[in-house]
Amino acid sequence: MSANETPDGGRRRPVVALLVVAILFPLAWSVVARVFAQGGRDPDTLPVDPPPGTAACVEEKSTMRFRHMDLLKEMRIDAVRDGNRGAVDPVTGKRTDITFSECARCHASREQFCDRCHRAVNLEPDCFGCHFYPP
Amino acid sequence: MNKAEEATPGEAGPALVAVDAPTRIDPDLDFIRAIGDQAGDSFKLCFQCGTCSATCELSPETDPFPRKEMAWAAWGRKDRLLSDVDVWLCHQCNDCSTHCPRGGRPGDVLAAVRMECVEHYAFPRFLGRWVARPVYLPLLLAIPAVLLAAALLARDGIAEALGFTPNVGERIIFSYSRTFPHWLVNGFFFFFSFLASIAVVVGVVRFWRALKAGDRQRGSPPPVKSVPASILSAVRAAFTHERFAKCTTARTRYVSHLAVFFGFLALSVVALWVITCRINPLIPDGFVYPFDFWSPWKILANLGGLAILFGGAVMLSDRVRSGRPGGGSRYADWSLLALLLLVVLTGLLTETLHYLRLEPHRHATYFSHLAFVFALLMYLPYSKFAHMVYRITAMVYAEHIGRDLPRPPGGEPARPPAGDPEATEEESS
Amino acid sequence: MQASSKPILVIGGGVAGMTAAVEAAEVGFHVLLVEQEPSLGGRVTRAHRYFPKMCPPTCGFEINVRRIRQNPRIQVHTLATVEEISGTAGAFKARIRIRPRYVTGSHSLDDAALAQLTSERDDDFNEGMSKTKAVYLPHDMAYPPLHVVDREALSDGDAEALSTLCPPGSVDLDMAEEEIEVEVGAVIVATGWRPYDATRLENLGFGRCENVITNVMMERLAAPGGPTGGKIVRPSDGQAALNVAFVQCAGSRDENHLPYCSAVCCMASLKQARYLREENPDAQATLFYIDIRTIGREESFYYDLLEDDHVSFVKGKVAQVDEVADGKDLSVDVEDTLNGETLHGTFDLVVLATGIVPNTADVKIPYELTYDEYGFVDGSTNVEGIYAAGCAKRPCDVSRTTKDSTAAALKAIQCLQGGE
Repeated sequence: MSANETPDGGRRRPVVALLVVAILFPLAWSVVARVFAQGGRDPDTLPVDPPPGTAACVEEKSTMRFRHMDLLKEMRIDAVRDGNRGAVDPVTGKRTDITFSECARCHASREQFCDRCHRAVNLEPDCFGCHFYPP
Repeated sequence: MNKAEEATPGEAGPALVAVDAPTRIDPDLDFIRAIGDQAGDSFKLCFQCGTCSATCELSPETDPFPRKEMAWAAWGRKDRLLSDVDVWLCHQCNDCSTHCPRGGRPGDVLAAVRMECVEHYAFPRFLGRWVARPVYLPLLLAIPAVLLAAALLARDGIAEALGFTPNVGERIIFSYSRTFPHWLVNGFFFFFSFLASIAVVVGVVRFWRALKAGDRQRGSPPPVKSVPASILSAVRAAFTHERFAKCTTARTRYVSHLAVFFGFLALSVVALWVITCRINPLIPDGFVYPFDFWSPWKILANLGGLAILFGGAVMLSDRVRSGRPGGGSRYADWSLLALLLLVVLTGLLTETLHYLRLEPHRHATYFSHLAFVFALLMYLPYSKFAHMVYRITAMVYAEHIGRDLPRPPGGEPARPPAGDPEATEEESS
Repeated sequence: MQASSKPILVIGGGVAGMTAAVEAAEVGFHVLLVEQEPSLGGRVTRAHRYFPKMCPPTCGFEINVRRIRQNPRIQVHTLATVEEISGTAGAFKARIRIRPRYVTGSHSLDDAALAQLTSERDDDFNEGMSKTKAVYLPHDMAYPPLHVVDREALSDGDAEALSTLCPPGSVDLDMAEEEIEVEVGAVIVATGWRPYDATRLENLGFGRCENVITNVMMERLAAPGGPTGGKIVRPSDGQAALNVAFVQCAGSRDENHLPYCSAVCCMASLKQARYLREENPDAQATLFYIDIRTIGREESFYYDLLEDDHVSFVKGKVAQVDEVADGKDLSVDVEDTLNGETLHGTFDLVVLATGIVPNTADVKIPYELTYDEYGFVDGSTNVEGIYAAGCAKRPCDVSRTTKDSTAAALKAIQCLQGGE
């Protein structure tokens, strides 16, 4: 039949436009987020350097990010089973007290340091059901 | 014979019988049988009344389809059909099949011809044959499973050889990273996607050349539009589904296909974003999978999956209820639809199991998900999924040669179908 | 011998039944002719002309009526239906229901007086394109030449008025339905056909577009006794139709409607194209066809029209008829398959060549008979003593029907005499 416009031709184009926008939205969002993140605090990189007068962190940032739970488990076993409430830094050989207070000296905000990431990956570790993270 | 004189028949065009070509026809009996196997034998009943062409909303005014294709199919003119761009301009609305006075189901016949096309232009050819025949299905499903399993078994060895630290995140809670490290999944899929894209390119080039050769042989007029401009128009048409929307009989197919199309697009965009994370300047260093559930990317991916699920469910119900509007269903239709749904279902199931932290189950599901994704993407050049490349190619070609334009004046009149003495008499009278 | 044998029951008083009746009666057999309408003649009397000789059907009809009237061996029952047939060849029993005519026939009724009635009814003789009063003469040539009362259409006021408008005793509104039982030796089924219901051809626009009509309506438009007095006009505005499309195989040869060829529509449309051309030298006719099926001597009728440059032929089955956006003209979508070109013609009248449906598709003969899948009486596996003729058996034109009826009459006679 004819090549004439279908009656709903007018309604279809906005639908398609909306779908295309929907698909491009996350990209735009990422660009915007990235641009605005430049000025603000990037929690991922906190802290870049240990505050003056404090020791370096237990491990490299990437190792800590991937393995902190292993470390915490080992430390927990050390503390609870062996009564060893201090740990030797595997890198520096320096002894550190095993307590979240030690973390909180540099990473002051539990929200920024723990919860934000756990939430992002939809994890609910039960550490803080018993343990105290100094605010 | 007013009308005949008024019409300004063009140079040969895709006329039923090329004017100067020898009229002897060597029917390809195997081809006729293959079409009959897929579309049913009723196409042999066609009496060339032209209801199908006139009722088709997508068919051009000049040398409209599918009447001439019905004759070619019955005559076993495989050569002619495989280099016929019109076969791919059909979206199988099945308006033709609904109105066919002979129960000839032209929509199904063209669908069958398209699958013959995919098989014919496949590279390598044996894969085309495998994917087309149900008997090879177990083998085809076993291939990704075995390859993936082998890759996983060899994971640590490969990692060591490539210098990856195999135990990073060894006891980490994101256990996919351990079982299915991203470098492995990405590398695996990159490698096979590369092979598949070679197959796609070879197939498309073969198809394009056949189209060109056919038109040259028939002395068709020169192209009217540059290839890049044609690509632009074709892609726009594909996005808006403007041709699909003209379907009358199969109205639901427009909605379902639109949902699947954009769902798939969304998932592809997200997948590209994810696998390029290490080289993507927009992604912060040290980006860690997975996304936050409320991340726009995650939302887009989830919506995309649901869109395919919705569209696929509509397609499935249309095909199960089958009957006339949806057209008949062939192995090629069922296998693609099943695969698409399996990919999405295993994907969504993996996600659910992940959030539920069901340990071995989510890995098993993810494994099957990856195997199905492999089957979907790697068999793309040979399955019905290939329609995405062949149809776009045909749409580009149609724009290129100005298929929708009227015939240029002063050409030879097209001949009536051979073996129609009455028609010939009338022409002369 | 003949006079003593049982009569032949002929079901249907169209050209098939009338022919069978006179053929049997004129060699001395008694015939009972049963017609469900108020008058004889059936569908043929509704035609303007016969093909291929283009003579009006009235002359043939007149001759048949005269042969019936003067033959005492033919008994005619109009408004009658056969309710039951039992028994076997040579000894059938038939129960016939005769609906009341409400007109006694004692005096003739005066149409001028009846014009004062207010109740009207759709004139089925004119395919519903005009109205008659509730007391009406079926058509000019009606036999029996009696008025009939449409009791349902007649209002109470008009019923009372009839006593003053009509001679006393001529109308009897208390007339009751009758049932008679007869013994017959053989039965001829000449139940004929009806046109296919064009409203089922949704894509062809009948009922949706005012100016889409059927071929049987076209016959009435062209007939002098028709609703327009013989002028071929557009139903929408009464203007003369100057550009007419004839859509062949409207339902016939179509698996979705009637899978068989209705045999007469090609010739009917060619004939109607001639009506148009004879009425108006400027008129243009276009026939859209799959194949033109004119056989034997009819072929020359077709060739004559091919010579007419105001008649075009397009090989292609029409897929869609719609009203154009800004009026009552009609657009016709078709592929001209000889040129491989989709056409969108504009016409001011579209005539659908609707096909033939046997009346036995709806109402079966009340006896165990075999029918084919479309409802035609199966000629080959028929019952001894019951013979079908004409369109009850398969679609055919008048000349084939009359030959068929003669043959059926002979078979019936053979059946009656077979026992001797």
